Amino acid sequence: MSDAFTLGMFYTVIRPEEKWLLEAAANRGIPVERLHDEEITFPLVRNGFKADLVLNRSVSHSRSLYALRFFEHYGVPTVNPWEVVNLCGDKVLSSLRLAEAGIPTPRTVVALTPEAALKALDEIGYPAVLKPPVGSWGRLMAKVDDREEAEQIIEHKTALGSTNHSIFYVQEYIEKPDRDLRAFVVGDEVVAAMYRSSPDWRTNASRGATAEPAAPTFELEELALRAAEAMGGGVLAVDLMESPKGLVVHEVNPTPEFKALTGATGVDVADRILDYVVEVATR
Amino acid sequence: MSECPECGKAIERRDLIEGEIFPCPDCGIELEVTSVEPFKVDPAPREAEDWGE
Repeated sequence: MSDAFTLGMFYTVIRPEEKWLLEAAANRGIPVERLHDEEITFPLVRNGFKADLVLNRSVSHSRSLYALRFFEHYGVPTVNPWEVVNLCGDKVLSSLRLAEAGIPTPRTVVALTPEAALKALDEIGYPAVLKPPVGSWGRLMAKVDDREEAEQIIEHKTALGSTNHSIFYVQEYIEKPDRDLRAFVVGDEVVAAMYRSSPDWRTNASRGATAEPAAPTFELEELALRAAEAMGGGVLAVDLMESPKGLVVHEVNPTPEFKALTGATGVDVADRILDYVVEVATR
Repeated sequence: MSECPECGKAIERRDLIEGEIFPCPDCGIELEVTSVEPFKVDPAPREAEDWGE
């Protein structure tokens, strides 16, 4: 691909992150074609859009998956690629890949029925954490303190009825400080890191956790880069917890937000992402 | 100029761009710019189960 390229931004809504990315592209003179995930259609043969490379900023995991596979089919590179988003967006697949790469991660057991979920929770021990395989922002996750609570939560999840709540992803509850760590990886570099602190056991920024800059220690950088590489690399936010046994990776986010990170660290994350996009476009 | 579909507050375009989401300065509901010319806002799309990072 030549240096002159049109960047496609596949998106759902324009949040500060997307606005900053559009500004970063404009500052470099990169033309941007906006591809709204509510409007675009995908025939089997490419037509109707000009983009030479697509930056995925859709907040919908399922829309992202199909769209990225279509872009790949059309021969259009994407940041991130379909395979990376597929792995990172599914907690079961993520855990398997992290384990295969020897990356410390919370003990995890997956069950495929409500009855087996109770066994999985018993195996992990209480308290445990029950998460839907696909989902984000801490939504519909549960900290399960004992078997009675487990039975009630599983009954409620069964009543929800969706496929996503019929697969039970059970993890040990990590006794950690009231915070977790996020390392933002772009290519082969951790460009910024932050602590997310909250009295809630879920330390998502979207749930009101406060962000403070974190000095990327050797251990943090090394682990975050290994986790990102295991997932296929690109632009990834690696979430880690400080367990009594050391850092563990619990999630790798393939379409990360960075408003809180930018505010906490002063790092122009959007600009660093654009650096990477240009690098991919000129490969 | 548009108005919040929830509370009727007059909303100025300022530097908002198409697709941008922002809270209504009066009632706080999240709004989306659905058109710039003419300027129009609607309630932002509701978060779906597979939405996230």
